[in-house]
Amino acid sequence: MAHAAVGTSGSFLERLNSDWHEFAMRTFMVIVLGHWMEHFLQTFQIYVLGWPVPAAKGMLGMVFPSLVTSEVMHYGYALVMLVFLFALRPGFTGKLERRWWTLALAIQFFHHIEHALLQYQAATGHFFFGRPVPTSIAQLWVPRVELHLFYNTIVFVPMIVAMYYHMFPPADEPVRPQCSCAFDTRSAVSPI
Amino acid sequence: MTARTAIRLAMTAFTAVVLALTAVGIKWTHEHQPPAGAIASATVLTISSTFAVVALVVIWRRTDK
Repeated sequence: MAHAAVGTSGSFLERLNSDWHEFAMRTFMVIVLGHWMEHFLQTFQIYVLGWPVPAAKGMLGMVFPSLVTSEVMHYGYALVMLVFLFALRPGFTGKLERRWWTLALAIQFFHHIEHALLQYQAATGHFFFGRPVPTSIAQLWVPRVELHLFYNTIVFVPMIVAMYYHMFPPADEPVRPQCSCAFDTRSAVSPI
Repeated sequence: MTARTAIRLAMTAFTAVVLALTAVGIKWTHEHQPPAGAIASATVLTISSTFAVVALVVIWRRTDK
């Protein structure tokens, strides 16, 4: 597949989804995988090492406990995820990759709403559902650690599939990529 | 090894970690949480595992290129 026109002009969003898309995606993945590592470690500490839930704070959380306890940090990360998913979506030009990325965006939107509810409660001190601590809708039924693992998985899995299709577009994909992410377009890409 | 295979294997390794963690998690929540919470936890962890397996199937089944 020949590489589509990778421009060096246009608006910020246009460039973000063309000649900057690969770099932006790599940056996004570093952030997402770093966050994943924290959740993996936290659940490992609880499930395997047998630590009490309040003591299991991942790796960075051991040094900076506010990373785990602060609702602002959780909401901020959810917002960053949402912004990246939204801003990088136009770069997913193929039908299948766009579909999977949009699914991740939709799930993350709801996840972000849940964190917004928690943030509101933490900021105002007005806790919903008669609970003594900030509580999201799904937390009415599901404990927080498992809920976070769940949300992060069901957002990240569609992202994985979307990125796979993005890096290796199907042969019958009619739309040509605008960026340098696909493996067989790299040799034709202009440097930024 | 092709780039496609390397990426597939990396994604598979990640998925394996998710599956292992959810399996251990279901056992742990069954033993440490009240019944209602344990059922809810097992449900969402099972859904997480299902998503992960779906991803594996999708990325490995494509051989059209």
